[in-house]
Amino acid sequence: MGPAVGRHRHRLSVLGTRAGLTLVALVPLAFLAVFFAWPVLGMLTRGFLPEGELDPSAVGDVLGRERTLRVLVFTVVMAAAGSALSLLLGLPLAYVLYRLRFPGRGLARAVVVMPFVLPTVVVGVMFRSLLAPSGPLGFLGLDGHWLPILLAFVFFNLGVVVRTVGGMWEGLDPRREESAAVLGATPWQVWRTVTLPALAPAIVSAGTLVFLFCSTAFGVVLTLGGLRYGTIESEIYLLTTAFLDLRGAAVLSVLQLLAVVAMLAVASRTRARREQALRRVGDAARHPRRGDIPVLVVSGLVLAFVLAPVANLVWRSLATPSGLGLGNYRALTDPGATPALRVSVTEAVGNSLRTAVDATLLAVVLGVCVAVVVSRRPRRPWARRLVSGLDGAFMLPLGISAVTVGFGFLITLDRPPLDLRTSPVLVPIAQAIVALPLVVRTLTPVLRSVDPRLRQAAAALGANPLRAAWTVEAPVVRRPLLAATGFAFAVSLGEFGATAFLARPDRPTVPVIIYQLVSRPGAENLGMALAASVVLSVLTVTVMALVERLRVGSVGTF
Amino acid sequence: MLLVKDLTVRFGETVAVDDVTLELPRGQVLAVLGPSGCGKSTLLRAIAGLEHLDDGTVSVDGQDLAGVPTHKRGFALMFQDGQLFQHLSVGDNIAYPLRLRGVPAARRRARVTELLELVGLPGYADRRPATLSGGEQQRVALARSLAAEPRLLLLDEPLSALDRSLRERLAADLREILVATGTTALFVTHDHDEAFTIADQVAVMFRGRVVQQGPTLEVWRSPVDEEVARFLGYRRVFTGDAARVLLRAAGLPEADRVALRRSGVWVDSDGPLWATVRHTVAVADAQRVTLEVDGVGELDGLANQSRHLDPGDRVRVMVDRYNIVAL
Repeated sequence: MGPAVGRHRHRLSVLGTRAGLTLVALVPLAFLAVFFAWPVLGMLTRGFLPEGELDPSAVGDVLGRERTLRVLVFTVVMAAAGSALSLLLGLPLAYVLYRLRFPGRGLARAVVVMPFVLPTVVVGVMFRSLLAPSGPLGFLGLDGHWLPILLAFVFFNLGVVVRTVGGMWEGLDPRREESAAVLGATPWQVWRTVTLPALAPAIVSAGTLVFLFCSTAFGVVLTLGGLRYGTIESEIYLLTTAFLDLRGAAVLSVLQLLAVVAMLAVASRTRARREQALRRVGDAARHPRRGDIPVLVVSGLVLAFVLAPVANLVWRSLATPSGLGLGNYRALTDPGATPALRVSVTEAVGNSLRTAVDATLLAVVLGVCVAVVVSRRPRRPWARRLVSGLDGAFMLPLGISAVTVGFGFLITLDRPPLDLRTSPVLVPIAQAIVALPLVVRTLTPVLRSVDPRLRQAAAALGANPLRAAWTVEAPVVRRPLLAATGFAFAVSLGEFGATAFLARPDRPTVPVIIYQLVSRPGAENLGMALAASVVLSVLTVTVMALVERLRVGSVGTF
Repeated sequence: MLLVKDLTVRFGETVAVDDVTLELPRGQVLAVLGPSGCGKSTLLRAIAGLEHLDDGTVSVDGQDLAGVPTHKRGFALMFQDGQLFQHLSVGDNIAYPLRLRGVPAARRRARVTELLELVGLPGYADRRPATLSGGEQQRVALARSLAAEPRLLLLDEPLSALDRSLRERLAADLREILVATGTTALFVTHDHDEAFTIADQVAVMFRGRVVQQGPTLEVWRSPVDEEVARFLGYRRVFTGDAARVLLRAAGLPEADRVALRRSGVWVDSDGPLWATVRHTVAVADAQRVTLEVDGVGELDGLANQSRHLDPGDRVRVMVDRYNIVAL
């Protein structure tokens, strides 16, 4: 075989790999195009081109409304306050949970992350039952106030801060701080001049993320804010469902999209810096000292703040007109328990589980494809830009209003070539779209951390590209993949924004049922909502506890 | 001067530092030399106030440091990987302790320039730590440590992360800089060459205890026991008749037990002993040989390169009295 033939073969194999990767990229891209871009565009077209013609006055018209302005201001202010407060309370907790060693630390870490995976509707119900006039904190008169929304934001996002910042803090070499201390820096100076700058990327990235989650929050705002307080997301929902104002909804959607893209850009910039800067050391945690007492007290209070709504929820779900008992739970199995529902809650649980399984499967298969492509580090600049562009594209569902997606499905997938209006696949597909970014974000850093020389070594030993990936990457990815699966499952179980639109009345999921129950008056409806919330929480927390046991450092790192 | 008295640090059941007493006169450099895990780093951290003392005292110039927090001790600490602050430039790293002390900016700049000059990195003030090589980072870390003229400079394996040739050069520079600035320094290392290049005094530490302490040459020449001897690079230990044969060949008084370095045995046509060559390896400046010495046994030695030796050759051997020690 001459050298020319050898080179030719080499070129063929390179082409083969490239074709394979392109194919792997095309599948999720096609999915995203059909089930994300098209519905969203459809929704936007319907808003901006009501008569088939561009109507630019709509933008000014919608933005000029006093209510729009109020919603915008409220969204931004609440999201900013929510992220600031989450950071303020999350930092001491991150220190305690990742830099100190004490019995029960693992449990405390799980408690802090739990709210993040709780379905948003459940969080709303929790705070309402805590602050309602009849609740234990009812005397504060905060029912219907904006403060519970803020507290719910913090409750929900504390885990994001603790995980993101704690994960980085854990890897910081304490000797850098010790160097500063020996050179004469007081503990406060050490924190300000050494620790804080080192943590800055994680803090910025956690802050951006929390801001993102707060400003697109839906279930919490809808259950706690009612008609009075709304964020852009809940306003989009109200405009489309209650007022049928598609124009207004479209304008707000675009506005939200722009803001989200901007924030994702910030987040990805700090992420790149963080991956670079992270040189991990072993477990640097130490036993608490006397100087740690203030921060321990603060952390204890924060943990209590996290646990109080949960404990209250469980407690109140057991309260029935005839004293403590399982009455509310028994009612869950009875299809005729309340006129508010068409099916029993147990049936809804079945629906939820079935949809979540389908959605998880979809999200994981697509997520693996995306992660494999996105984790490549091509040498050519254009290819690198392409990869990072893809990375960004698959993050978009995180920021597009789930409501927009849901409504987009309804108005675009209702006629040939794709008439899915009555198809049961609609809900799982929407949920998969929501869960996809989380799967990608869990797998990509792991795949990126694999030294490409390992793959080259395998190839040099005679492994073809597939075989090399199987030998080198599969073992590294197994646990993160399991974790991502669990995470996707938990998120699908709790998904509300898109599901609220798409679930057919005779096949509701549990979050939908909970919302239906709390939006009707009546003690037995509330009792059942609480009981159903407990059931759903137990389901998601169990899944997440299993995930946590896998000890994957980067579940949903952004 | 630094005085450490009866210092003990325990981690649960294990005693990391066991009743250590050390004295370090002002302006001198003391090396604490020991294998990894012997407790030397813990001793250093305890002196810095970073570990809790279970017993004993640390005092400087007669002032007991119990209850004085780390940042008020007026020390500096340099780690093996420098631990530069990545978010600050080289100049700002060096100026860090000065800034803490409220030194005005103009004086800080002047001092940074002076220190960069001293450590051989003039013009590096605006560089980022991440752009420096390992050796350069260590030089910057040294400059930062010296910036505030610490009462005591603590160095934790300062050269271990560097490659061999760089380590030797930096060790010599470090010695020169410490002497030039009159810095009192305590450094811990597992490398005896490093200790002997840099230190005036050496304390050898095993299993949490200091087993020998004294001026560098004295410790080098007369290790107190076999374990210390082996740690200091004495490769072979002989007892009984073999010991007596070797000592007689070196012209030293008889003893029951000797330790030898490789450089204690030379192939030399005027040597008093006979040996058979077993194995040779050529290195740049000599031949390393394994010898079967008559009446002694197997020994490591050196030969110059005048004649190539082969296994089986019979040669005469001399013993260098400065590289053999009676125990």
